[in-house]
Amino acid sequence: MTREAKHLVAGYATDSLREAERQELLRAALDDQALFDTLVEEDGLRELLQDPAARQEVLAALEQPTCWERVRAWFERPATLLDLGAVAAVGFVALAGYALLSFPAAPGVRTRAAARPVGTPLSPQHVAWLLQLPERQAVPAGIENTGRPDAVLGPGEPLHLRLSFRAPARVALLEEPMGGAGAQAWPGLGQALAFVPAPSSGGPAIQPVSLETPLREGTHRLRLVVAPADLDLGALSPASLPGVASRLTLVDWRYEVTRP
Amino acid sequence: MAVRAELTLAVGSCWFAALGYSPAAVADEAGSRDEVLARVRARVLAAARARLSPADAEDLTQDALILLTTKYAHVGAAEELVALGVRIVALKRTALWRKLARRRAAGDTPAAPLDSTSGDPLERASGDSPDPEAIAHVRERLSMFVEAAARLDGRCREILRRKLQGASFVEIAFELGRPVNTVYSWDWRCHQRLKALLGDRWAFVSGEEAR
Repeated sequence: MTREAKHLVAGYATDSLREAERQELLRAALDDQALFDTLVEEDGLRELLQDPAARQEVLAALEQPTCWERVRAWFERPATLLDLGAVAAVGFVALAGYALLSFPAAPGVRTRAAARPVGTPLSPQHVAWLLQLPERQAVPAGIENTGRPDAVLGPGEPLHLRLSFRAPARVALLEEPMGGAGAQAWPGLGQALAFVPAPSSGGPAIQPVSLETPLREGTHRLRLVVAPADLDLGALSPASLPGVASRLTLVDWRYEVTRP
Repeated sequence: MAVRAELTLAVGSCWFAALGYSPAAVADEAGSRDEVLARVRARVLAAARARLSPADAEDLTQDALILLTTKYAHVGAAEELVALGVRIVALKRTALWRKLARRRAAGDTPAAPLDSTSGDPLERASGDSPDPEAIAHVRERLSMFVEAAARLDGRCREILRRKLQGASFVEIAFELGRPVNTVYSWDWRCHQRLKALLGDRWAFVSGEEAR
């Protein structure tokens, strides 16, 4: 059976062939037994579909949408799209609400997680200058010992502090042991001031800091330095430091180290 | 039987000549009418043998040739002779199946070849009012075809719908914006899909088998 003639067979059954196509098909069947047999087979269907009423019956069945077309039409109708959009919006709002209500992080935790050293580390000259300045509060700030109510501790004892201040700000904690040189206690030596963003709760930033008391007995001083967020103290030369002193908040906290 | 066929061809040629026709008068590129008839006879005989007993196939072929050389002697074009051959085989085949089915229903086993196919099946098909059994037969075949056609989807559904509305392949190709050869291929594949959906019932729907 030739390929071209074979493709005309289905048209023969529905009487859809033009005269030239019909002649081509029948001429091919004259010498092609398989094609002739196929035409005999298709003739039964052709006879069936020659009745206009039968054609109408088949056409009526073809006009009915298939299951897939019905499903697709249901999805494509505007009401369905609106329904699905509303369901999606409600689902999104529910998920967002669940996420907000299920994970209420403590302000301190958020602040602690957000604090990171930013800018230029302080030099020993910067630290010495900051320690010799008088206390002053440009913004509210404070140091609180959370480990014990009094300020008397043993040598090498853990010291748990809570720093509170208005954020965003750049913050450092300096220490001045009795009879010793001042140094940066937090963030660690060699690191820049910590940048603390504003807490999402809207209140002051709470930054926990853990240190260890010095071994030497006596009165020691810690100084909280709070600089505006846009002020990189470490980048300033020692000569220009006095010009920014009024923008700094300096809060001291003293404690006693005694041997039991 | 073969002798009978040759005799039929000879009688047909003489009858043609008596009416003033000659084989050359209907000759075309497919050959003279006698040459075309000989090829049609070969096709009819092979098609009948594939469907009937050898004796019934031989009788069907003789009857078909007698019809083509006598009643349809005015038909000269090769494609029209092929069309008549196809139609005669299809109708006689259906008539034989129906007679066989009736005999089986009556508990009668045929000892001799069925001889109810004599006469012009084309005339019977277009002339007589069908009996209730034939009507029921057609209804059942149509119902099966409708059920299968309803399960076609997408392109096949659209092509069959347009064909049944009377559109030609060229018109369908124009509507779909595709070359007509592409539509031929699609239609052939869709027809195979339809046959697959019918499965074993295709033989009954096409009239190749009795129920």
